[in-house]
Amino acid sequence: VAEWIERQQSRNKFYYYHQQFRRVPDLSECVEGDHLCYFEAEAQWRRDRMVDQEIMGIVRERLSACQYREGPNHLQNCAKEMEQLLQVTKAYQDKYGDLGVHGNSRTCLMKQKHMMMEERKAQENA
Amino acid sequence: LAAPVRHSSHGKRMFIIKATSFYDSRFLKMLRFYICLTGIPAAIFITYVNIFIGEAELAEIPEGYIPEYWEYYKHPISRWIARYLLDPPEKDYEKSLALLDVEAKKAEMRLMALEARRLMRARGDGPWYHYETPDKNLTDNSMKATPDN
Repeated sequence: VAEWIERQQSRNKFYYYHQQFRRVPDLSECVEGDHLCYFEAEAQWRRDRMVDQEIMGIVRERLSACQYREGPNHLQNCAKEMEQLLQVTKAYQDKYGDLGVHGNSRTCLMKQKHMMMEERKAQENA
Repeated sequence: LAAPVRHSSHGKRMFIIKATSFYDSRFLKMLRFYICLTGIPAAIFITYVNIFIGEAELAEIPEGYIPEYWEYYKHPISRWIARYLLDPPEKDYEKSLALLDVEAKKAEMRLMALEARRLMRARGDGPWYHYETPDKNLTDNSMKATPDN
């Protein structure tokens, strides 16, 4: 039955593509008060956040696939995937972590600014 | 002579008294009827589309080819809706950007008007904040003519 369905569907094939978006100036490169620039930077930030969420999902799936493959000795053999997941999670948490539901590109930029300030303070204290 | 034969005849016929189920069963019958009235043609149509037309396949964008805006969807029905019923996302985007632009300019204009009001009120050299005062020829200066009053 599956082959009959395939034959019916293969008469006129058509394709779908992944939409490519152009890179627009970031929120840090926008002139103050330029709301159009803010809008485009916000849209780009949201797209990047969705991409990062997908990346997180893929890395997590890799770990679970590895665990399924290895079976009882997964703690030993999946060290690379675990390390990768740890790094990716830490990076995601640093960038998008505690912004909350109403997080937008502006709060993310402010978080980055605060992180840089704290880093500089830690460097001065050390 | 018909001997009493023991076919299981459900015992004595009883008139079972219970609350009416007429309204409930009528409601459920009407519900099922009206749902199936459009549901079954819709289900048949969607099954036809899924079997005979099939979903799109993911492909890399060929060189030098810009896909139309409806070619970014997988299911043929969503492609049809995007092509014939909805506006292209570029048009939507431009419309929202235009709206944002108008509102931003309005906000800027209002801020500038407030600043102008503040300055004209403070400095008094602008066209605003002119108040009508009575004519100086109407004042009676007779009581100010003699100093010992």
